Amino acid sequence: MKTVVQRLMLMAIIILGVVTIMFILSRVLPGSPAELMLGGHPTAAQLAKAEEELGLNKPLLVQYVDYVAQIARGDFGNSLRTGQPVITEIANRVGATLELTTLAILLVMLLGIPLGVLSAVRQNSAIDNVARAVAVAGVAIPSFMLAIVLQLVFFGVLKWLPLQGRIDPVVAIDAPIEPITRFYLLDALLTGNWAGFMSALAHLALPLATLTILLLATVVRITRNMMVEVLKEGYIRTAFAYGLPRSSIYYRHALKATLIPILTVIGLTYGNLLSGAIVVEFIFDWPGLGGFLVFSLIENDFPAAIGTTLFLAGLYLTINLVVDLLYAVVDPRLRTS
Amino acid sequence: MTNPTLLSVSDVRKSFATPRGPLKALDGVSFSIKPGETLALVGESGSGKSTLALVLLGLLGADSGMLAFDGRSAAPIADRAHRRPDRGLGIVFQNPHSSLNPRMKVRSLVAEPLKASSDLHGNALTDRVVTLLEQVGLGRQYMERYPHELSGGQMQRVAIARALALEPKLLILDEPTAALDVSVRMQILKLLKSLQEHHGTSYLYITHDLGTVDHIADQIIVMYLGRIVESGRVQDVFAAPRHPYTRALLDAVPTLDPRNRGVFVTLDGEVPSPVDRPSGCSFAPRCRWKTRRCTEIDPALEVADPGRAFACHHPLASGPDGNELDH
Repeated sequence: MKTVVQRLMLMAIIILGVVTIMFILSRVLPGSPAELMLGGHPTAAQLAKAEEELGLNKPLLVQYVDYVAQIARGDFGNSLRTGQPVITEIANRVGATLELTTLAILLVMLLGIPLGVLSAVRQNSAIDNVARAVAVAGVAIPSFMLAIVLQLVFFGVLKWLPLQGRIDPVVAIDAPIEPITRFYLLDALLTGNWAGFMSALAHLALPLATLTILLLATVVRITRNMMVEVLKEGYIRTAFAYGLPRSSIYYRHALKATLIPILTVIGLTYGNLLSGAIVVEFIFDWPGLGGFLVFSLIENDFPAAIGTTLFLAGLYLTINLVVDLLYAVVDPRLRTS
Repeated sequence: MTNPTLLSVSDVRKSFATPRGPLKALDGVSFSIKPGETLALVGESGSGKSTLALVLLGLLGADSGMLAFDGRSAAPIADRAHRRPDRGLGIVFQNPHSSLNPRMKVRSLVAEPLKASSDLHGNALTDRVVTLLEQVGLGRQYMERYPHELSGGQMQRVAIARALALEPKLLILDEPTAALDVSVRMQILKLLKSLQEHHGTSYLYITHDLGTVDHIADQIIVMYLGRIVESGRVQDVFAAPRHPYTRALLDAVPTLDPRNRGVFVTLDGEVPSPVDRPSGCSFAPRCRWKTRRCTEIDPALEVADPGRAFACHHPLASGPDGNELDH
């Protein structure tokens, strides 16, 4: 319990740091938020009035303190582009991002961990070498490039999958997906909306594949290397000596011991996943937080950009806190302290 | 008794490839164990004791040699490599800290080999686990503990319970007390002794500590650089060692009786590298009785009395209190 409180306090400090950095950037970068809000070519008087409304004419330190106090109250302000509260904008888009990233992380674990185990058990075999080569390639290819190549192949050449978006506009009108969890696949399943499910799945395929390939390599390599180490342990040798089934030795004994480092990597990878999602969402026009953040930055919509960034930072920190708490579940030796 | 031997191995050889040439870890080792008997295998680090244990279990492939176990006919020992070890063959490893999975409770640690070797489940399985734990002197309350919540001696008891779960006819004990506090070593040895009386299990007791051998073993084999240099009944070998190496090992055992602190044969230098084994007798570089013959001709293992063998050109006198030191 004490560690949880400590970790939460640490999270608050990190968030404050993020707020500070975002504040400084928003005031240093060229382009005035007041101009954006007014649009067109405002007069000097209009500008001055808008700046006063936004508090931009006060000393920077006062602006900073006001801003931190506002964030602390949970008020991220209104988007300058849409005029909507940033919180509402985030709430409307978070489902799309979470659906994409959650499925990606599940797919990565489901594929990466068994592949890593297989690689470790058959060290230096053909499977191991292919897995390692693919892993290196996966790390080396930038996500934007991979995304565009996938679009070229599966949309441009093969015409199997849609180019971008989250659902076909026609399907969205004929068989709209009722927002329950805001995970389209789940919502479509819950309401028995097959047309909606198939369309959502087709639209999800390419962005999901891009993120999965991006992260798979790390998980496969970590799993493999950890497994290779654990397989040298005395209790593995003992298990072989007692004639235990191989699958039980590999998955019950060895994999369990590697779960902590794998969990750590997956927690840290979640950061890559979120930043990867920003690029991937932009390219695939995925209506999530990543694409929203990119447009907010391009258009100097600072409240939206800062709010989204803070939300993503908080999400990342929370995921890593959960990972740390999971350690104790996986390793009984960590429970006593 | 129709078949007086439980295990017999002959001429086991195993060498490892190293950058400096082949390392002969086992160089023609032969021995046999009778049912209910304990054979002690002693020697310094690097003499090939643990390699032999791994070869017997099939965890390591041997280069050559034959093995017959439990009434079956002799088969090449290399066939055993990387297959499921024989039923009836168990092992307790040296260090319980590493041989017990730290993420499993005692209950599952003991139940696991049972599940693999029998179709026990549910209450019958739990009952068997409790029985096994009681046999090694641990109560039911230890079932839900993790290894890190146990002492070294308790962990080794769990390791023994796991080995017993397979109902072995031959239990290999690879330095079972070396990692334990001196105070609990004797407890574990007594436990092993009483389990043997109860189950009639044979033991292959691997150790470098001769001080414990006469408590538990009937027969002894002394190994040096992958070869047997002396073998026989424990009381015979202890009373009158014939090989200078055995004598040196025995003299290294501390004694509490000041009257027995007479002349010691101590060993100088290190065990020569098994990669470049000296020509002639491997022990010659460290032997105070060596002659030119020793450095030129490798002595063979010769059977002296029935059940007694040694490999030395100048064996120590077999008398009760030989004056061989004046040699």
